[in-house]
Amino acid sequence: MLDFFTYVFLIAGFLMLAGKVITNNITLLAIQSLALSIIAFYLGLSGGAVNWHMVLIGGLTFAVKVIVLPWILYRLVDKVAARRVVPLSIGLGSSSLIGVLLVGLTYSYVVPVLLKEVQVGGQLLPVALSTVLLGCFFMISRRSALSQLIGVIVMENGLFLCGIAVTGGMPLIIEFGIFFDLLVGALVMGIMTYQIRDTFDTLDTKFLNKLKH
Amino acid sequence: MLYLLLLAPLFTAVCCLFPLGSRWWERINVLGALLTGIAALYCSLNVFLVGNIDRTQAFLVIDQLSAVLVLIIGIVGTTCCLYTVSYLRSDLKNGELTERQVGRFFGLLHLFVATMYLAVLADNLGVMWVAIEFTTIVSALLVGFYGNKAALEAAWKYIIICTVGIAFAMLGIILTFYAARGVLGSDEISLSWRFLYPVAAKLDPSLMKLAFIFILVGYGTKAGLFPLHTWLPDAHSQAPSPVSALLSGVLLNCAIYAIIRFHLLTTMAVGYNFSGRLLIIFGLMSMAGALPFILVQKDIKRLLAYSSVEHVGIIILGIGLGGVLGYTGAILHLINHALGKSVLFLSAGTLAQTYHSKLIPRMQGIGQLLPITSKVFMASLLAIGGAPPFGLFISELNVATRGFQAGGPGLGFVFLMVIAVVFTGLIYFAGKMYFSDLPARFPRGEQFSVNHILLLLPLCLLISQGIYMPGAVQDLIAKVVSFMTAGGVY
Repeated sequence: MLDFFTYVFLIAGFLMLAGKVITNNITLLAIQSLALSIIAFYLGLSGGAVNWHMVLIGGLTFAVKVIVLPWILYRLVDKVAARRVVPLSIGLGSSSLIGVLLVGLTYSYVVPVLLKEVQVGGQLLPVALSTVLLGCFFMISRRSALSQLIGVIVMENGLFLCGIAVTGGMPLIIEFGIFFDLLVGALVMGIMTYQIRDTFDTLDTKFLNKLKH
Repeated sequence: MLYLLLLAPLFTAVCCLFPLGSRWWERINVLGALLTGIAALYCSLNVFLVGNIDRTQAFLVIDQLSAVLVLIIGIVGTTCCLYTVSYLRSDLKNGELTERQVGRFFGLLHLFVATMYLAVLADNLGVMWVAIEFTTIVSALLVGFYGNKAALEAAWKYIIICTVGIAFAMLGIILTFYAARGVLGSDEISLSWRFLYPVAAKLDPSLMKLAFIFILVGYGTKAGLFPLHTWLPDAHSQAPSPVSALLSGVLLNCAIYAIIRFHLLTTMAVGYNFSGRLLIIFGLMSMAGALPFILVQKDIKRLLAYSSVEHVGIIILGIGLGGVLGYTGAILHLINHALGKSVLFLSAGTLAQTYHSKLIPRMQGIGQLLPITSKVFMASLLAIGGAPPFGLFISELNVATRGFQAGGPGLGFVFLMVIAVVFTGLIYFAGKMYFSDLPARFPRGEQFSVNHILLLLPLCLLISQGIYMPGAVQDLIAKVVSFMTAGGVY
């Protein structure tokens, strides 16, 4: 049960690398966040006593990352992106391949060798770290400012799962802080995409290269 | 009292969002900045004079190390906020901004200051992380404030690179939490500096090593350490000058502060050699890496930004070398660089505003155009270059001495050579700007005004520190250093 949603989480992140239509990416992001929130709910409710901490995190994730952020992103796409297809800096085929390599790297090297002191079983940790890397690579492989914003949220998702996997959730005040941070950050980046689109007439980041040395 | 440090700038920021008109915004800004500055001075000096730190407050805690940072933010932050008044007036006159934007600018500026106070006062590692991420978000809005292409590009790169970088710091914090949970339990206190330091020796060394690497990458991005510095020259050169001064003088220090904290923790858990050595490597790399860019620079603000990369390198190197000399040098340099660089950015900003250009070849005859501002500019440039009698000479000398002592002659030699070459580069550019003739189309001369007093105050502090440091001040620095050598325990 838990493993199933963990894989949904990973595969959603992976499929994002394989598509270039921005609305699909946002839907996948929402699915990934939904998986994250179900994982948190499951961990909170599956034990003997209800772990309210986890339930709260699950609820917050659902509210912020499944509803609010995708809604903001959809509206942003409506307003700024005339073309729904984002320009790529690395082709779809090779970027999927690199995605597979990154996941493989996490499973074969990062978790068993680098993080051998972190004794947590299950798929959560490798999936979380893979997602952080996938999110990072997603930002590199796309040349659209909006995709970079999506990449940041994917990375945050990975970090969040990492926190759940390693420590069973960070202290509540920090979780709140991170949610607030992410929300404000996404809003600010959204405003900036809007300004960039207004000033440059495009979201293609290849035009953001005037400042050098 | 500590809460006042957060509430005063926050309240000012909220007031500035009301549509009051620029006269009122200016008044609110001046009042808020002064109030915050005085509160900061009081809080930080209180730590040293009373000595007995109130440790019952759970959320915000001030100790010797954070007191230094509060002092810096207090002085530099207030100076920059006050200077902003005239800067925005001339921007308004030049038609670069609309009047509505003035209020927003003041509001964001004070919000930015508040987040920095939170970053250095937070007792909890996680809250500190959140605060530092918030500084990025708020200051990115300020960097992109002019809304032109270059500013937006800089702001976008800044917010993306720093957000991604700081995500790695979160991984480090998660690992620290995992290590601390075995010792302290999984409550909030296991992420509190106060509770972590006494038990640091019991933390799992290999976990802490990993955590420190993530932390160094994460906060190092924010501090502008060499291979991760790419956002820094863009953001610092495109931001409005008071914001550049804050970014360079204070924000970098907040990130360095986070690195110092983790360095102290890691040192106690792992032993000295690990994190210290990493910091030495990164410090030297930043110094050497910034060097070629300084020598070929055409844009005055980018020149200053790269010089910030170099100075961050010096501070990190001093921390890495450790010992009484290394720590003293680093802490003094932290303060001196903040004072000197902020004055430099502010005066360079005024010059650039008058010339309508940031390019060095265009800025000729600054001495004839703005006699007073340009003299301040030259003096602070000498200070940043590390010439005596300014305080930076003393702090660099401390770090260099420790470098020869602990790192061997090779390290000391490289350190001194980099500083010498950077000095030559700075003087070369400044000479071209000062000792040249002003094109005839510019009016000459300026009146002595409040702004010059604002610029001269930090400069006087720098000079007096280099010539004669009173015993009381030496005591204060000694207290900070002994706090650090003791490993963060009171």
